[in-house]
Amino acid sequence: MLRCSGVREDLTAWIDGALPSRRHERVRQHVAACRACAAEAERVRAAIEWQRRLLARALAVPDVEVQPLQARLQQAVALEHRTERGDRSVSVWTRMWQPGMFRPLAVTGAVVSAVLAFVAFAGGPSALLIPLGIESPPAAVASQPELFKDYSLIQHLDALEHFDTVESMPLDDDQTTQNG
Amino acid sequence: MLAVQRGDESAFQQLFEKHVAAVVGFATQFVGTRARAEELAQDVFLQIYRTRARYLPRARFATWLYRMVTNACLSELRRADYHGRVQSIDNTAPRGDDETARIEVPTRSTEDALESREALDGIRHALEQLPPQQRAALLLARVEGLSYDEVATALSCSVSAVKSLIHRATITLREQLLEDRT
Repeated sequence: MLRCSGVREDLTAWIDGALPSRRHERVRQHVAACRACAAEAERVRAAIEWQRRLLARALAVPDVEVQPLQARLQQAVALEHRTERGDRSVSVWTRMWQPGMFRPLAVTGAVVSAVLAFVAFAGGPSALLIPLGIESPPAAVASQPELFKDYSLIQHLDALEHFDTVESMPLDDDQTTQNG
Repeated sequence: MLAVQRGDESAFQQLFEKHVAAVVGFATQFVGTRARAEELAQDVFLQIYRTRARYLPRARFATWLYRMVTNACLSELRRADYHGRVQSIDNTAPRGDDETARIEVPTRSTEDALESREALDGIRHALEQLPPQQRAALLLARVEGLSYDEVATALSCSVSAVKSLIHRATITLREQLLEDRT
């Protein structure tokens, strides 16, 4: 036999026909046998009936003007269509930069590409390491270092007063003079 | 809704015409003003249009619709600026755009009309005292005619939770109205 407190918790669902069939039958048997629960069941039933009737009227909103609402909705839908079409016309590159799962991937790819491009234009990874003394220069450079040395064309340039004295100034290197 | 999925614009219009008044009425009980309820209804239908591809005909359209409507209403209640935009629920004058004053109540006499209007005002006031989840469950079941299973889907909770929500709402509403009468 069910306890009254348990049955009363189920009365609303029982009247609404929302209990599983076995539970429904047990509640029905209890209500048939228990005068207090039967009285409470009648009160709940009456409450449900008038709530069903009155709530519908309480919620009714008269004169909902469907046309203006629909017109505004259609504008929004049209805008949605334009946005959808616009999204399709946007390039893959632009879409990659939109917030979402592809952005981190795009940023990483861009950074890696930039590093690779820099290394390639700078003459390979070893070219970056030669000035640091980590990497040895190529054999051609090692055998004729003077070809790759930075020379000052004219020493004591700041002491010159006239360009005609250039010829008399000591030059740093004969070869440079001949070439220059 | 399946026609809407296939791109039938007129089917979407029919859906809107069929359900918009009920959605506005439902939402008004949560957001307080009819104007805001209409905005919310438009937002919901736009969301339906946006997500039409995801609709699966496993449940009734009404269940899907009221799941969105309820989510939108409960979100609105949770918004920080909600209290600034909602009219006082204690206002004894007709709410919103005087819609309650214009409800046609089929009565036999002026006295009956007054009594009916009082009853409707009383039930609205009592509804507003209910916790939002109870209010939503009760309205979905009693007014929109959703089954307990469908209410559970709409509220994203279990059927046993719905059973408890509806029972408590039913009893609270009954007691509240008995108090008002005495």
